[in-house]
Amino acid sequence: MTMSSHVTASVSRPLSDAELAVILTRKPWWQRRDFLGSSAIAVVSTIVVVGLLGTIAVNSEGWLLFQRAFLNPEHFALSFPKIWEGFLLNVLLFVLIEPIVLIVGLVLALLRNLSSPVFFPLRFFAIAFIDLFRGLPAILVILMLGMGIPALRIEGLSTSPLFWGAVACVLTSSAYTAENYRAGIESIHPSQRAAARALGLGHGQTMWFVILPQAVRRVTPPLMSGFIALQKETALISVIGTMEATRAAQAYSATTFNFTSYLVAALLFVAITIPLTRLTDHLLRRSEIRRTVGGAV
Amino acid sequence: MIPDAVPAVRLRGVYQAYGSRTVLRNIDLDVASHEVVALIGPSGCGKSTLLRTVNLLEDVVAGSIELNGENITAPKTNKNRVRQQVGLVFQQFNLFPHLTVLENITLAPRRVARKSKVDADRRAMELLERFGLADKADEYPDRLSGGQQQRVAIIRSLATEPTVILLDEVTSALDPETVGEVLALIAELKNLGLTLILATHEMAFARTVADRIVFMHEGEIVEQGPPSQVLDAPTVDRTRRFVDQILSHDVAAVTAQEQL
Ligand SMILES: Nc1ncnc2c1ncn2[C@@H]1O[C@H](COP(=O)(O)OP(=O)(O)OP(=O)(O)O)[C@@H](O)[C@H]1O
Ligand SMILES: [Mg+2]
Repeated sequence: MTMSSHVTASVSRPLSDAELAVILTRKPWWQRRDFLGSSAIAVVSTIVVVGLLGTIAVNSEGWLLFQRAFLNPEHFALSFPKIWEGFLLNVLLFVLIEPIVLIVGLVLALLRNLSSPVFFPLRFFAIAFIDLFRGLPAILVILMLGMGIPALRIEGLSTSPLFWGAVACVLTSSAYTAENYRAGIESIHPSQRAAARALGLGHGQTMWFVILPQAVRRVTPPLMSGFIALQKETALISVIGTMEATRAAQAYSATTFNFTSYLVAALLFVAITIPLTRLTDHLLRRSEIRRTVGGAV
Repeated sequence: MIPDAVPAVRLRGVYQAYGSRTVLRNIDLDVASHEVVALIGPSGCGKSTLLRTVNLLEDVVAGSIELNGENITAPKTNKNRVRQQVGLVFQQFNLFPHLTVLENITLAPRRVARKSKVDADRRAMELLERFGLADKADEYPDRLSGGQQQRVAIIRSLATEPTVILLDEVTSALDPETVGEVLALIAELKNLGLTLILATHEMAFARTVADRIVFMHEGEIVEQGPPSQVLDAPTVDRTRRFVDQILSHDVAAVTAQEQL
């Protein structure tokens, strides 16, 4: 079969450049045949499943009650402004904390990587730090720092629970991020280090110019997952009384006995985390393709 | 060659070990300036270890190494300065995949020798032009053939202006068609007057390019001399067995190729 079609092809005249171009040009995804076929199936099956589940839910006994408590348009509109305000605090925290986490995590990973015995105390500190803050539930760290340190009223230290809650977030996330960096650093083949050293580059130069650039590229997807986790972690700061989105939603529901405000907060978070997740997936796929194709940039 | 000139590389009683396993035993070797020495010997005999030791990637267990008369195994040696003078090229090229060809070549001149970007780039382009790779300057290594990658790796080691270049089986990872271009480049290095120590399995190449062949076995130098002596009339039994085996292998490979 394959054989004979191959023969026919080679017997007929060679393809002109224009014909070849037509074959080699990829159509946009919405025009591709495989896309049209599979998306049709996907649409039909989605309608069937959602319709079925919807019918079951709407016909269930508690549906009206549920609708009133969680999907109340009036409460949605009323609670929105306060929660939005709180959510801006979440975003602000996230935007301020993330760069700090990326830097602190990197410093920890580099300290942990020091091999010379001279640096043992630094290395020990990094390992202890990472173990401790990876081992503790984030909410505990937030409670201890956010409630504890302001209560001590130490001269010169901030007494803002929000500040210490943010510091707690930095500590826990940095510990995770350091481990991500470390995985990346260790994944670089030792021959890269040998090549750099053989050229006369020092330890630090080898790390900075040769190992790290490759390592960071490799761990971008897990670092992105860390972003998303951190974005959600900012909600934990509500436990020390900070009026961020979750806390605002809780306050609203506590006075109205309606839970729609939680839905508002949930939608706001998801509006940020889902696009971030998709972006992460995209980066992950791209880096995988790159790796199978050959490695570099 | 002036007989009493200071050798480019001199090893005296060098021992090397990985853990408790001794890999080099009492190595004495003098390599004169501009000389080309080929290290041959069975797999695991310590050729790579010897080259890595001369580049100071491994510390000697005992013995000393001199570079142009200077003891480089002394404790206070600035290793990074020595490595500028002794280039090492690896079997697997080890180019930096995140850097372009030009950036690979200029990394050490810029960061170690502290040359300006303009100077380092100009020098790198001169080298690339001389060896016919100027059009690849802005490519990333994974876009090059194996032979091209290995030539870039050799140029990279040249860019620090070394006097000695160590080549560790630089053709073993290459397709047969691309071996030639790399061997041609090595022959040019010889013409440039560099001192070369190369570990190789390419007996035909060793015969034409090397001034001297050193046969190693289980971490020791068993026999050395001009190619005609070591390859055609070895005096030690162990050498003879190795050479016979390698040559019959080469013949088999050639016959196989001719039959294709
Ligand atoms: N990093 C290492 N750790 C422990 N043992 C090693 C290491 N590198 C090499 N060896 C051992 O040292 C011995 C010499 O190895 P070396 O790589 O120098 O041999 P070689 O002559 O270059 O061999 P080949 O022709 O296969 O490249 C071998 O027995 C090897 O197993
Ligand atoms: Mg070897």
